[in-house]
Amino acid sequence: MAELALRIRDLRVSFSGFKAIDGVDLDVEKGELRAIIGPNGAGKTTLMDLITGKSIPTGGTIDYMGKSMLGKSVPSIAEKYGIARKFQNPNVFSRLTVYENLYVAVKGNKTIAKTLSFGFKHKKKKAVKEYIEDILTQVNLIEYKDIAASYLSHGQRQWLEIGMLLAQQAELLIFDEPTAGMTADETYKTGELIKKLAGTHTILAVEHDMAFVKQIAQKVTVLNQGRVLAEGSYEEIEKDPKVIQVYLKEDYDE
Amino acid sequence: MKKILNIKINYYFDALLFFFLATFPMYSSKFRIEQMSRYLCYVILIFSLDLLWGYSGTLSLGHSVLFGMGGYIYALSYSLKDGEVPAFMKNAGVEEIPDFLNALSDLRTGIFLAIFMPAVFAFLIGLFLFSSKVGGMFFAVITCALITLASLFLNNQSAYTGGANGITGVGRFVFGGQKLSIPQNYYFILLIVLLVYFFCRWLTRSKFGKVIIATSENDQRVKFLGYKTSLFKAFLYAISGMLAGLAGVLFVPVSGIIAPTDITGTLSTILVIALAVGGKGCLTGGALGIILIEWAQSALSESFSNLWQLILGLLVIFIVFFVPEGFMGKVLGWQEKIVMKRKETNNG
Repeated sequence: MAELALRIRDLRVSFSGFKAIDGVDLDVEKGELRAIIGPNGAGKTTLMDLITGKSIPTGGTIDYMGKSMLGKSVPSIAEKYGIARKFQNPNVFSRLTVYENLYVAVKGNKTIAKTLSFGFKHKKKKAVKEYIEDILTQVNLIEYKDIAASYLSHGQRQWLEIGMLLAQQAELLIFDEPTAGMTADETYKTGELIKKLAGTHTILAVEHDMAFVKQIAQKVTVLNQGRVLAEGSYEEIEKDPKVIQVYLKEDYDE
Repeated sequence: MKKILNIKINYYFDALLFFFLATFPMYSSKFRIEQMSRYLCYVILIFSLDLLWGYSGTLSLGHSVLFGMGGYIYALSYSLKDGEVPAFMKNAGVEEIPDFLNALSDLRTGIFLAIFMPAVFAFLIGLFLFSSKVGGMFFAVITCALITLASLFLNNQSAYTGGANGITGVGRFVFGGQKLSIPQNYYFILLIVLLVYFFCRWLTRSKFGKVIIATSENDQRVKFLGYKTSLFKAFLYAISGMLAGLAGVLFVPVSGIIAPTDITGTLSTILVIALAVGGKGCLTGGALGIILIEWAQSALSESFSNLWQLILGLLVIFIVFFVPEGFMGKVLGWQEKIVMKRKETNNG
C-alpha cells in the first residue's frame, strides 16, 4: 500500500446546530486522484474548507503527511504544508496581468520583507521568470502573458487558476468544480491536465459533472448529508443502489 | 511607435506635471508660490491615501488625522526647541516643560517622531482592524470617527496642543544657519515630493505591491496563496501613515500654524474627492486632482465666495455618474483598449 497523504478521522463540524460534516473518515494515498461527489448540501465544499483551515472543525482529526492540520492558519497550510486550492468560480486577480497572477502565486518569498526585497534579487527573479513562462506554456496562456487577466475568457481564467496552483508547488491540489462553466472541449482538456498532474501530486476534485468524473477518477467518494455514503471505483459507485437513490437518480429526474 | 504606445500614458502626465511644477516659481508671485507649496504637501498626502484606497481598496476617511499628528508633533518640537516654555503652554498654566516632552526639544528627534509616530499609530489600528476582518465601509467609518477623537483630544489637551488656536509661529526650515526663502522652501518640498513619488512607484511595482493589489480584489484568495494579508495591509497602512506624517511636517512651516481646523473632515473629504475625480490607483490621478481642486477652490472662492462648494458638489456628482473610474482611469482605459486592438489585429 502506498504512503497515506491525507488521513481524516471522525471529522465533525456544525454551524449553529446544523451538522454540515457529521463523522467523515477519509484516506487519500499519495499521488492518488480522488473525486468527491454528492448532492447539493452534502458538505463537499465544507470538507474542503476544513482541510484548508478556512473553517475549524468541532471534532475529529485531519492529518496531512503525518502532521495534524488542526489549528493551523490558512496561509500556513497553503505555503508551509503545500495544500493548494482552486475555487469554484475562477478567482484570478483581474487587475494584475496573467504573468503577475502567477508571480504572486509562486512558492516562496511570501513575508513582507521578502516581497519588498525580491525585486533586487536578479538571479532569483530570472529563475522565477523562466519557471512562470514554463507554466504559462503548460496552460496555453503564454501569448497572453502581459494582458490584464480581466481580458481572459472564462475558460482561460480557469486555466490561469490551475496555473497558479502549479506555481504554488503544492503537493495536495484541491479542485472545487474545476470545469464549472467550461465548454465540452475545455472540460476534456482540463481533465487530461489533471490526470497528468496525478501521481506527482495528490488530487482531490469536487465535481458535479459525471462525465468528467468518469474521465478522471481512479476512486470516487460519495458524500451525503455530511457523511460518506460510498467509496469505490466509478463503476462500483455507478451500480451502488444507495448512491443511485440519493444522487444519480436525482440527476435522471431533472 | 509600438514601444511608445506601451508605456502607460500616466507617466507622460507625470512628466508634464513635474515640468509645470518645476517652472512654476519662475513666473509666479510669492503668494502663489506659497500656495503651491501647500498643495505640494497635499500631493504627498494624496499619494499616501492612494496607496491605501487605490491599491489596497481600503478607504480611509480619516487620513487628515495622520497628517495632523505629524504636523502637531513637528510644531510642538519647533516651539520647544529653544528650551523655553512656549506661550500657549504658559497661558494654560504650565510653568515647566514636562519630562515626556523633553525628547521633542531636539528638532531632529521631533521630525523623526513626527514621521514615525503616525506610522506606528496606523500600524496598530490597521493590525487591529484588518485582523478582525473589518474592511470596506466599516473601515471608512471607523477612520472617520478618528477625526472626532482627534479634535476632542486637541481641545482637551490645550496645554500641549494650543487648543482651538493651535500652535502658531512655526518658521520655515533652516539649513546651515540660513532660513529658507519661500522659493527655496518650495523647491525643497518639490524634491521630497519627487522622492516620495519614486518610492511609491517602486513600492506599487514590487511584489509587495502586486500582493496588495491582489488583496483589493479577493483577500481570501491571497490568504490561500500563503500570505498573511492582514499583516500586509497593516504594514501598508503604516507606510501610508508615515507619508501622511511627512506631509504634515512639510506643511506646518509653509502655513506657519497648525490648528484643529487643518485636520477636520473637510481635508479628508477633499482628498477623497480629488482622488475619485482624478482617478485612483495610478498616483498621477490623485496629484492632478488635488492640485486642480485646490486651485479651483481658491480661484472660485476669490471670485464667487461660497458658490465654489456648490460647483465642486456638482462636479463630484457628474464624475461619479459618468466617469466613475476618474479622469486618469478613463484615459488609461482608452489606452489599454487601443493596445489590445492593435494586438488583436497583429495576431489575426
